[in-house]
Amino acid sequence: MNRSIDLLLFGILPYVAVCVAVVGSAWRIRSAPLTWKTGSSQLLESKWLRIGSILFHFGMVNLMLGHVGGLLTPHEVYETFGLTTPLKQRIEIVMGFIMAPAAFVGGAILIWRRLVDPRVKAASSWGDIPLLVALLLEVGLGFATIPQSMHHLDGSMMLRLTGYVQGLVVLDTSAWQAMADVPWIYKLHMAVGFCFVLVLPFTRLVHVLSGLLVVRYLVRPWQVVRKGVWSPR
Amino acid sequence: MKVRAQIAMILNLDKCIGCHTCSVTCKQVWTNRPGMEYAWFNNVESKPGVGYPHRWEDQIRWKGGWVRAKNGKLEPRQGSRAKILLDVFGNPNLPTMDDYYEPFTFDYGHLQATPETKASPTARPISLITGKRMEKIEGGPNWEDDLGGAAASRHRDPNMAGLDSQHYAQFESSFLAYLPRLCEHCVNPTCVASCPEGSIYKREEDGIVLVDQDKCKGWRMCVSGCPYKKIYFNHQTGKAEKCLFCYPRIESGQPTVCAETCVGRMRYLGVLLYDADRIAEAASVEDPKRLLDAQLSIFLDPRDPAVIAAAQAEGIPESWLEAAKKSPAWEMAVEWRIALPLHPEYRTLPMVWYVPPLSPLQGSAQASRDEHGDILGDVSEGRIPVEYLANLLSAGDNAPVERSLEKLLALRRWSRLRGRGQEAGFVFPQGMDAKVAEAMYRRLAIANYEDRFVVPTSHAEYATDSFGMEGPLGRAEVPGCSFSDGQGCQGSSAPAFGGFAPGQGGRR
Repeated sequence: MNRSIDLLLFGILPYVAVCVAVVGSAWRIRSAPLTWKTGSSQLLESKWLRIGSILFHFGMVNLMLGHVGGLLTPHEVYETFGLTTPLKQRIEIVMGFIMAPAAFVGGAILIWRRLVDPRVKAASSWGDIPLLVALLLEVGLGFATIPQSMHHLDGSMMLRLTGYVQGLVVLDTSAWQAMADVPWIYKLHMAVGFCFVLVLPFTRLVHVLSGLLVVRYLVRPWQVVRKGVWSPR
Repeated sequence: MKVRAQIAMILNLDKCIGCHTCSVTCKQVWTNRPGMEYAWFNNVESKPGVGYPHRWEDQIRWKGGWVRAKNGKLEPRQGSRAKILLDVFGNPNLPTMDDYYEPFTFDYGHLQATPETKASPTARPISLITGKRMEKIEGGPNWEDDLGGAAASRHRDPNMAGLDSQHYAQFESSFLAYLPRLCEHCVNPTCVASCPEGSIYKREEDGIVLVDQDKCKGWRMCVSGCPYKKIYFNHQTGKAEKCLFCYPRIESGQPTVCAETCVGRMRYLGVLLYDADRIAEAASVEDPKRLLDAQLSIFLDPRDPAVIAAAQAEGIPESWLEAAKKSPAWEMAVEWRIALPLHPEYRTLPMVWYVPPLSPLQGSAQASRDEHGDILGDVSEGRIPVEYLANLLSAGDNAPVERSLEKLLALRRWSRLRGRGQEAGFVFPQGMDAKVAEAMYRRLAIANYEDRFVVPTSHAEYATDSFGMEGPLGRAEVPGCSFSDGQGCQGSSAPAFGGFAPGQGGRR
């Protein structure tokens, strides 16, 4: 029974989630580009948004970058740069210990202002608060793995999890079996994470993808001129 | 030389009566939608005053427009590309609803629903944001109309810099001018430069600056980038919107709605040709007072054979080159130099220019009576201080404003004499003669429709479904529901979310 659940959550769900995210996002940007937006409410309330949003995004962006970099960098690569596995484990614990509370406090401010500020409240759509609550729960789950990790500072658990994720990336169909005796708190955190990937195209989280692409701005000329109807092409 | 054409607008402030017809007709057409109640693509401000949004001209606070770095390069005042990217998480320079005003309606239903009472019922204000009753209306799009309350706020007008605001707060020395404002459709727009997504663009064929609603993600850096605060964030659609210069009308040779409906007949539309290769050079002149001349220097003479040849090589149609020769914008801005750009010091090279207003004489005026024997006054004797107009229209340089006002005064004086048949030997200011005066009289005083609006049509061979290409919301409007929030009115024939068809979403 447990093996079936593991197969479902860690063998099948990740691939389904990524496929749905890719196809769903492509469908949405083509069929409903007007709905693809950050959904900012800063026009209506700026003071608390500036505190909450900056804290929240500072935490979330760093957590994301940390997860992607930490999970996908092969063991051998960081060892050759002199970063030992136990040291990497400790860095990750410290970073998580800073970034998760930042995201949590920032997100809590954002939820609070959506509930309290009459203008923001009136302009909120029904999904705004549930999405924020779910994100904060996921951050909380991740934070709750830190005490567990303190028990294996040698990085053995980290190696197993990175091995699993890297197995997923290289389409190793038996990767999920590595999750067999991982403590449930990690499993829950990861399964919920996959669910976020799954629902990404159907929420305002799509602006995260835009955020990844928007760095193109750094190399763009200041001005944008579109060819006129009679200009030679 | 790379020739580009643009439809420019000139506003003759001397004839603006502050009736707000332009604002109202514009609002009816373009911003009469949820999320845009507070937005006025065109508004008229009473000057001096803080304007809309409050103190929009204070770039120390709002960080709009460009600054010239020590190396001579321009950068948006709100920061480098990296700074702009980091600020999307919480824009430090974004005006909020209270800097504009909280839009409202009134509880009219209450007037009909109330049973018979001793006191007559009142319709109390209701917020269009929250839908709740407002205790007090705190502001509006022109809260200081006709100087209402302006004595208190006069010193907060950034254009009063260098003027004695105490003196001008006194009744005897107070002054008033109207300033209708819309998007300047700049040659060097900061909104375009500030958009991380690249969703704002300038159309090469007519210079109109538009927001591609499909591409816009709502990063809202354009709102703070624009020094004129003429980009508005739609809090319902989450996208930026701005004045479209009524491009569907312009494409078919019609004037914009604000210009068409101006009862004072003080708006002009005409083609200006300019050299796109010299934009950066003109915008980054060191001395702000030289920016006006720098911008004038990139405009190209539509009668110069070299310009015509270069324009033809760019594919600009004959009809546009013909229109450029008859352009009121070319005459008023370049030939006569009576029109001036709004705040050239922002370095955006704006393309909506203003003829400064003449004003009634100060009580103490005497010089004109002594010298001319009439009551028209001298430029320095108008109630509106030249310094104030210079802060508004020429980066604080009095000379261009004085030159313009002198010509307007000379035109009046000459016309009065001509009415009595005594105009022979009239001494004109430099750059003016009887022929120019006659032409100015026709353009400014008679102001016939065809003399105000010289708008060539887009050629039929290039014609596209302009609404389908780029509606105000960037895509095909579904018939019968022209301005939805993009999701609100899917026709049964349309695919999900209004559909996707080749060619939609503007020209990429």
